[in-house]
Amino acid sequence: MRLSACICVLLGACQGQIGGEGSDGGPPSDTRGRDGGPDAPFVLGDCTDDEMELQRGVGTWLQNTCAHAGCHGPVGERSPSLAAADLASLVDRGFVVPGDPTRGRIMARIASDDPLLIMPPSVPENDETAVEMVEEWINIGAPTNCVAPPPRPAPSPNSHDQDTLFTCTDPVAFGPELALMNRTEIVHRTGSFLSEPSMQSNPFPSVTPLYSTSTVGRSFDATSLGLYLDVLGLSRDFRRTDRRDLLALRDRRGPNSANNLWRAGLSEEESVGLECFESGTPDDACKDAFVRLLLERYALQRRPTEREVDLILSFLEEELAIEVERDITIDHLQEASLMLSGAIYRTIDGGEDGTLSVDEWGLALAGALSSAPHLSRNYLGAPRPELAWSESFVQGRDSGALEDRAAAQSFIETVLDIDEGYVGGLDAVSAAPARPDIVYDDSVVTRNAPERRRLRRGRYWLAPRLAQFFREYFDYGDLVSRAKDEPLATSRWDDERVGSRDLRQHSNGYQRNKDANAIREPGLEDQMDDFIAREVVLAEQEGRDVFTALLTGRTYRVPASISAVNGARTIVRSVVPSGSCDPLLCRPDRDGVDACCDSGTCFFEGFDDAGAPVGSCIGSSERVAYSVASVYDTRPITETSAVTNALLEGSGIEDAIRNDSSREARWVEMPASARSGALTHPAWLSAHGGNAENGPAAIERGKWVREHLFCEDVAGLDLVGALAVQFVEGSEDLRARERLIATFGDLSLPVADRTAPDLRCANQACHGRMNNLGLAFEIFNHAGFVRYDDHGQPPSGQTLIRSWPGQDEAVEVSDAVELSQMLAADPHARRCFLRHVFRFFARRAETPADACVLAEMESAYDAEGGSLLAALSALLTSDSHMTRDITGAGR
Amino acid sequence: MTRFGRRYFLAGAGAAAASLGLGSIGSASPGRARRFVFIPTGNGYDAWITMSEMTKSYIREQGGTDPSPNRWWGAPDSAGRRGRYSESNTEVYSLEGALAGAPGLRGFESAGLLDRCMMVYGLSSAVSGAFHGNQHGLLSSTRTVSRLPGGQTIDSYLEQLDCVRGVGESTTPIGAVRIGAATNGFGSGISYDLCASGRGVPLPVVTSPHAAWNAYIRPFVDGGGLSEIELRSRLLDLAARDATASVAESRNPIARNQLERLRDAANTQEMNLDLMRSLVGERFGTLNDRMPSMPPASLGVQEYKRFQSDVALGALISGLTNVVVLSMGAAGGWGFRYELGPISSADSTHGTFYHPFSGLSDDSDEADDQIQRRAELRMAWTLELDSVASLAAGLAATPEPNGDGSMLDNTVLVFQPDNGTDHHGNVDDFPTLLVGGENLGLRTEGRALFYPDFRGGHENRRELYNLLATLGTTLAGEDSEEGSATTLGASIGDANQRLAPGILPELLA
Repeated sequence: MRLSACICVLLGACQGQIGGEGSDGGPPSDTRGRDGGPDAPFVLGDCTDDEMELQRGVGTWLQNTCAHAGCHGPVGERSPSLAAADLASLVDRGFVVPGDPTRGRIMARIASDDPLLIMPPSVPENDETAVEMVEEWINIGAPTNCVAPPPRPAPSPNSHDQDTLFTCTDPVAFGPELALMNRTEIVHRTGSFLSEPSMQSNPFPSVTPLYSTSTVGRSFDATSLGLYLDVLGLSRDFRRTDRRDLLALRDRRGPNSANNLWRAGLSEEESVGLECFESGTPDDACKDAFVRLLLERYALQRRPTEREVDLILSFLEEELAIEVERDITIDHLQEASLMLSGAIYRTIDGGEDGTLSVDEWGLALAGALSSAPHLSRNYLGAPRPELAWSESFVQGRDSGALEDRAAAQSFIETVLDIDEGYVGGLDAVSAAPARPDIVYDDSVVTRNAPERRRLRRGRYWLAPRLAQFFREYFDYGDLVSRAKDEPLATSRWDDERVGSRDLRQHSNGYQRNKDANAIREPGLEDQMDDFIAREVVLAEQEGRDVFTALLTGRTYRVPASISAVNGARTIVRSVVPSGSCDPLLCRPDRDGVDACCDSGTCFFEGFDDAGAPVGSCIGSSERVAYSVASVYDTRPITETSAVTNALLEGSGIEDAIRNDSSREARWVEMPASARSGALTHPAWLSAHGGNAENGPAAIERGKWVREHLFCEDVAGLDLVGALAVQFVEGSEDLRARERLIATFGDLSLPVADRTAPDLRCANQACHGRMNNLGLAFEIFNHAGFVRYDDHGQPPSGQTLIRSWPGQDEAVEVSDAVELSQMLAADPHARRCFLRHVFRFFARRAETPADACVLAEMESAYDAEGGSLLAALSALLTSDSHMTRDITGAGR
Repeated sequence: MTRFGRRYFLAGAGAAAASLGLGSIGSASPGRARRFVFIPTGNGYDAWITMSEMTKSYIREQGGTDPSPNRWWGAPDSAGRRGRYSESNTEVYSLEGALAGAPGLRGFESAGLLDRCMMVYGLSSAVSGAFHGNQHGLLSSTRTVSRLPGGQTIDSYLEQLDCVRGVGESTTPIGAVRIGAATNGFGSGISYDLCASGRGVPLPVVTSPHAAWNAYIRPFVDGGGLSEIELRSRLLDLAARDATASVAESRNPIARNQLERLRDAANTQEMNLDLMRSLVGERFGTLNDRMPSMPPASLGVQEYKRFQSDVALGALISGLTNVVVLSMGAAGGWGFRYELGPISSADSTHGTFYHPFSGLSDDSDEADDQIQRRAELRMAWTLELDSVASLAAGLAATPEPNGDGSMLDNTVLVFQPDNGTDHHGNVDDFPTLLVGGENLGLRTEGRALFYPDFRGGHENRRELYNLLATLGTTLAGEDSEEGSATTLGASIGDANQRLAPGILPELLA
């Protein structure tokens, strides 16, 4: 019956069943004991069924309720740890006194309704039945030996002491590893591209709790395998549909595309050698050659083992026996190669002696720069610039020149060199495109006008994996989905002198700016990408500290050209509208000017005072163009007339606007008082800014800083319901910072001095670590505009930050600009940044056993004046990475 | 010794089972078919279309907001007031025979199925809804964090119950069919925004009509589908043999475990394929007139929804599955489109046209185009409900194989907005349409059920969780032991966020 089944769930006999149908299992659990060593053998006590049930219930409730990262999780900084339902430690350490619920602290905390005491602090009170259950468990003697505790979950990487992580005492080799391919990697591996419908949403992971690359230890379950087959079949269906000449589906590429790219990338000699396979009856040598090339250049990206070759050859024979058409046989063969575990997992295990083979470190190197397969070599007829080293790599591998460890190290360092390597640089307009992110993965651009889009992007570029790291680290890759109902609120545009139409115009311009697809211009995410690429490339080239550059650089890439004509700073752009003209939109505006509707150039601007939509034509209204970049404009309003008109005053500006296609003019140095680096960039601010200017943006922003620059956990915001709903009611004269303080208390005060007893989360357990950090950003609104007027008061980023690592006293900060500069100079924050670099590129969380590698990375970073590439090189050439622990212990 | 209620144990054990992602935990005896179809509609919908004149009169009598045609019911008006069903009602109320004439339910009315429907108003949530990017919450009553689901969704829970999926030879080949139109772009393939097998583990929803047809319809109507099954079998056999050999070669226990899981996954899929092969062998060609044809190269938005709805019907009547998630949406955001008129075709995605409709209401001076936009959106939702009605009619017209009435009698259809009624996610009202399922214990009878809204105090306020508990226990046949119905659904939802435990007895006969 169900009861026994449920008991089994938590008993030791069932512990191996982590995961299951539809579950990918996630990274392995930490099976070590509290002291890092093996757990002492668990001895099951002689308990009644009720005692068992009660212990199980209490343990599960406490673990689910309390053992979050940043709270009472494994290796958490707060005592006690409740991970793995560790009831014994509760008793051992006096938090529970068996038989007496009135003693010990646990009942006082969970049964309280005092906001300064209640645990968890995110609820006003706990469920009554849960509290009764814990009380009963204590009453009967708090048994802890009736049920074996479940496996201890893996600790949060932020739970480790940072100094320990950078103190090398005993080098430890990485373990052999299987990394599940992630979604992007499998798209590219199969010869597809990111905007290809049948492959873009494949069942491989795209989001993990850490990074998209953090797939070491993850598994592929039955549901995902079924979906993988669906996706491959869908791709094949598209191809076969093509044969039916349905034009709408012609541009598909993927595992079964007619000219699969791995074959296009073969040398002439290799291609000729495969002609025997195209038709007729291939002999054994022909089959063998085809299969070996298929596996190496396509599915595995390494030389196959004989077993793998035999397996695919066997499959091939079966297919030939029932063959209908050779192309279909090749389709099936390619799909079969993608079913091998070596295609589903990237395997790096060091072989027999633990030393990485050339194939293995080549895979790791390629994976640090790109999600694309490096041995396919050609992609759309042009080598991907970040993988253009692959030909010399294959030559060195096949000749044996790269077998030597020193040669391998030299090769890797060369590839990662900013000047001589393949990690990024300056894209020459006239040369072959060096923007793989633009050229290769956008079907529309690829087919139609790659150059046009390239011109709008910055010339500085980074290898896609490096760029992806920053997108994920700063977490701005999803800002399109972040709703902004009133993006202009409290900004200079939110002013009656601007006029309602202009306000709408700028609001719409911002929304377009947020969504690159809507404007055919680089959106905010792309603008941030470009800013980061420039800062990183220049810092690397000039020997400056990359981390500092990222947090203090002020030269942003705007979505429009800026011309310095007649001394006026005018931001404009040349919008190319899409779609057909809609007569409903293009009608005379309220000024009576006929917003023409000429040959599809109509552009929706907004609504007039009556709520009617208003459109205009590009060329007659540069105001529209200007509005796209207005989020960057911080000048005060001094005119009572429409600001945008004033901006266009001056002879020749409009002509300059229309004719200016300069890429360089889009780089704009922002005012020193308003911006400083990535954390003051509208993309980051918007991605972490909520939906309302008076909402909880400070909490989100503070949480990011605490976790990504201080490497400390804050209990997840999932512990509470909708954050905005918790806020005290807003009003016309209440700023976001005041709502925050009214809701959670003035967290700049010492705990003892806080006076409002009915405050939610007033014990500072979580919000004390986020809110005041985030208050520095209140000089910006939720959408990233500089505030102009904050509910009748001057905007303020003033804050007092407690718990700043390494600081004994609370730190006073005037605003986000100063905060960014302080963080840029903070050694703790910089180390935290390096930890994140490790997580992304090592594809897993760091542990104290990685201390020597982290120390090497830091030394290399410092030695080169703050070089991220040096740190990455140190990681990929370290002894720990290049020589694997083959004792079987793993990590 | 004090006896402790099973609720303690079961609540914890259920949650643990969910978090561990265990396999089948159901044990109730199979027999009566039990099917569930969840139809989330993305981005909120205007519940006004579900209101008949009787319903509106009731709301007015209760001192609620005037259900004017000139406002979106759930959206705040210029004074920030959202639609309320009463001034201060704290009691649950059932308005019998209330649905006749509701404009959005016309499809059910014309199919003679109005008395098989029930509207449930006032269900709130402490953890679901609330802005974009939290779609998992609707079916899990947990909060999506960083695009990852907070917990197991009800479809995943149900598909693991023996009494839903069946046992032995009666096991459905597929636990749950998840298809949609569409959450991450029109026909882009697969979405991961809606379903989950556990915390942090999303489940895919197939949004490509081609993929859906290939996977769930083609095997029953097209010989090519049979060939595809055989090809799959060969590919899975290859994967299993390779993984087995790799396991033997692996020296690292973690890596070995990963490879073992891959091997097991291939074996599990092969077993499912055997079930599929058997079912197809039995049904091939017998359902051709009831199955959708292969979709054309492109589909209009409404055709797209209807097609996916037809695929859902095909998957149910063929016996392929007993659990379906059919995601829809008609109001901007996540690629939902409606394409009905000149305005909406210009505003096919979340953007500047959508917000004014949601934000402005109750304004007699509003512009014609705004009225038109409202009408278009309401028609889009109505057409969406027409698809649901068609699905229900198809089930009603299909006798249960064991003679236990029609398939609709044993199928519960649940139509809900994933984001509350408001575009940006108020969490205090998820107007829900329930259809069918009378043999499972549901009492529909064309009524409207009103739960007190969140202002009515906690005493009688009920949440999405309670509906999920009702579905996952009583209606799924999992309440065979006294008292268990209030707790067996505990694996769904965040236990610490509940206002009240248990099921919704008011839904039942």
